Amino acid sequence: MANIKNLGLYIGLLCIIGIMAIFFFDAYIGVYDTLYVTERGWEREIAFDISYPEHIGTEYGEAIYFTYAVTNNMFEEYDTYIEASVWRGDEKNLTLFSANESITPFDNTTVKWVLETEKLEPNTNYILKINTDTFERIIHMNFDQPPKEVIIYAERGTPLQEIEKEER
Amino acid sequence: MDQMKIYILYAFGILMCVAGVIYLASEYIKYLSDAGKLTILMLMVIMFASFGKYFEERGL
Repeated sequence: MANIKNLGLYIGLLCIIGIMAIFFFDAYIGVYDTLYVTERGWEREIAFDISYPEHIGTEYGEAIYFTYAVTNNMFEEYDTYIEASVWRGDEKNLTLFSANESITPFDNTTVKWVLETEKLEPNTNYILKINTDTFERIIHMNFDQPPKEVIIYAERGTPLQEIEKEER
Repeated sequence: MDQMKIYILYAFGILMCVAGVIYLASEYIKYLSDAGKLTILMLMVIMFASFGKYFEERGL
């Protein structure tokens, strides 16, 4: 009778243990990656936990610094190939980083690379692809180039710069 | 009065435990798969029902 009386307590405790086990094995155990992007002096963390692709946009000519961290929360060593490349449509434009990495259990590794935007074309849509043995991450990129010279026309159709020259 | 202090300490401890569990769950829940979330939901329903039945039998 006593056992039946405490049955609810035991089932409840088993459920708590089950919930903790699911959190541990489903959410913690595994391989996770995070990208840190530094543009214009600001660092941004991209955890790839949203359903739509991230976007990076900066001024053309500026460098973008990437730090890619891979965390191995597994009981065995994780060997992977990491490649970061820039694509324009289906055409591969640039390989930024490629290497084989080996991560010991419950450890992490970080790799860094720099994207010089001058090597690409301004005002063009690019895709940064980060490929590992487990993930394929896609980030949209666009680099705006401000106009070099703005010619302001006066009412009679003469550029203001020409008017200024005449005045001198 | 001493009994009251003990109850206040109990309440504070329970509050801290609940806050800690909520904080850790919010940190890790984004890594859970859909199947894991559904299983946890079912386990929580069973857990509350079981504890409810247990306390009802104890007359609390």
